Amino acid sequence: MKGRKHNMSIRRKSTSTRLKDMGKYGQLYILAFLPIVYFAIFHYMPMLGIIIAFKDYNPLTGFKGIFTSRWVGFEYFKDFFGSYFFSRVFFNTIKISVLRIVFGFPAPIILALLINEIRCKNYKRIVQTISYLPHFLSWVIVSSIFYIILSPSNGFINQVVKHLGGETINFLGSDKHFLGVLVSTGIWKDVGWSSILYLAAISNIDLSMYEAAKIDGASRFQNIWYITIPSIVSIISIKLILSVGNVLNAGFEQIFLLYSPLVYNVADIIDTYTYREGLVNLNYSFGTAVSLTKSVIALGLIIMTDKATKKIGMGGLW
Amino acid sequence: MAPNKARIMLTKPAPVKRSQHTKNSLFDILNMVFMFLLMGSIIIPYFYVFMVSITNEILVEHFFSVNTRITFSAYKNVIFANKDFINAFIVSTGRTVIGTFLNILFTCMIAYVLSRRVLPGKNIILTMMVATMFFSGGLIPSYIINSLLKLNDNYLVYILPGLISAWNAIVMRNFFQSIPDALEEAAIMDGASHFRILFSIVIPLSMPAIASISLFYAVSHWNSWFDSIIYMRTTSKYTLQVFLRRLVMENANMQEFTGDTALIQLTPEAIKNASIIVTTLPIVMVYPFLQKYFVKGIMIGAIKS
Repeated sequence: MKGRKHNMSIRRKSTSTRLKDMGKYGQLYILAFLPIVYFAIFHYMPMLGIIIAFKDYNPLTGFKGIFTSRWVGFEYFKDFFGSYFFSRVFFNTIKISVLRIVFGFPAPIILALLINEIRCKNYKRIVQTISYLPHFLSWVIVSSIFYIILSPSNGFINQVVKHLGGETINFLGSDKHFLGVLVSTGIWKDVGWSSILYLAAISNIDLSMYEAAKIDGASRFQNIWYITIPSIVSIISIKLILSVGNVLNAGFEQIFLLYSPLVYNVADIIDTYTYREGLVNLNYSFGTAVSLTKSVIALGLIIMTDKATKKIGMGGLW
Repeated sequence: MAPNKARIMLTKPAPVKRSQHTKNSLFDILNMVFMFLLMGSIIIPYFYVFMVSITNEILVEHFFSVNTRITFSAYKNVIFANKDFINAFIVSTGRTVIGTFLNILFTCMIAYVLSRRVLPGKNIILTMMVATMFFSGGLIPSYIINSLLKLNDNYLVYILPGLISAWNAIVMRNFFQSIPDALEEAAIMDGASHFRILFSIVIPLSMPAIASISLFYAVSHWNSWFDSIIYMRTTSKYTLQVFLRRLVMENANMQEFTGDTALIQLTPEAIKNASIIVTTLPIVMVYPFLQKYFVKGIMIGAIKS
């Protein structure tokens, strides 16, 4: 390799030049080799493993079993759709996701717009620093903190409630309150961080538009309504499409850490159900069938929403 | 250029507003109050947890009563007296340090290869990698493959399955592409191999991007708990987060803290809250200084995509 120069002439490459090229590229292939092996083993092999959704896979048969187990077609899918818990799990997933979108989607946008309006430079910085912080705490930590704060008899919140003369509320154990806690703590944790994207987009807006508006005598609200918001509409629509595509996910980590059998009837979602039935109870084929259903529906939703936003002229994902 | 815009965004408000009004309007005051409440909602829970941990009380009025003494013995117990805690802390720290190092190494390797202008098969590799961002086998097939690879109850499961994040690799690749070709061409003229170019030129010049991406990987390692739960069978291999959860929700290990070996009679609440504070301490301490890298990382990624 040493001493070889770039071959700049236009003549057709001779074999020795091709070999020299291979030598140069060879190093790149060597560098890429291990990463490619990584993706093959840890991402593509599991994709291959999806076929166990259509087979009767027995974990004890190991790797060979993925290919040698007998085909059962859509049996496990039918099991899922016909199962006692199907409608509950499906309905909960959609309901929680819709709540998250209705309350959680506008929140970072509004926050970004408000932060952008802060005059004092230092105050703005402090607000940003503090509001980004919960994003970096794991859900284990956040759920532990809220578990303590929302504790039924002596938690901080219930102490406040008692002081105000009310009855203590079992936030995490009552199916009337659980969803409210879920959605609001979800917002609490991520609203700051999610607003960064919108703040970045806002900072990219051409300032001359604001100057023109000022000459026309626009108020601040008019500025926001007619300039700021329309300028970030494309980012909003992209994020909206991704949120809708995500609708069957509903936040497994957070729910898993906060839920309990007491609230299964409102909190059990597809993923938590898959975890319990598919993984813990060793019904691997069944669990995989459920996951696959979810992925296919999610893909369909993304495509539909993409088409829909293009129709209303908000721009799509592709 | 994205880095400059990042600086502007964080330090200056939109200039034109300042010349519109010279006094704070009602809106501004309400806005500041709202922000104050928002920050309060973030700080107060944390503060409550801290107060419980140092006063051994759980009722707010007792925090400030004359009889209550401030004591850090909960921390002494949690940090120094409990082997399982120290174990979990070492597991998490080791995982974060070693894991992040390997993450960056391999991410840079593939990012470098994909950033080269000409390479037969480059697009195939790129598409293969990007596809993994949208499609995946799912929890159970991944679990099965990992188990078949004997990663059950094995520390390697903390490192291998998540070795390269396609998203981070793409961000890194974009950054590498922005390095002027002239530098690399000069090195090639001097007979440098690709390994040399990558490690002596490209990486040193990409330190800001590497810093941001390292932070994302590191935070992800530090906060991991699910893989710990599903793959580990021996409790000594749990990460710190799992330890914390078992302590707070299941009262695991509690006897060691509050039993006969305890110096002062500590309530379980004090122990739990102290553990929470200790677990968050690394992130909270490091975060203000590194905030700029986190934000830059997000913006490089988001804007380029």
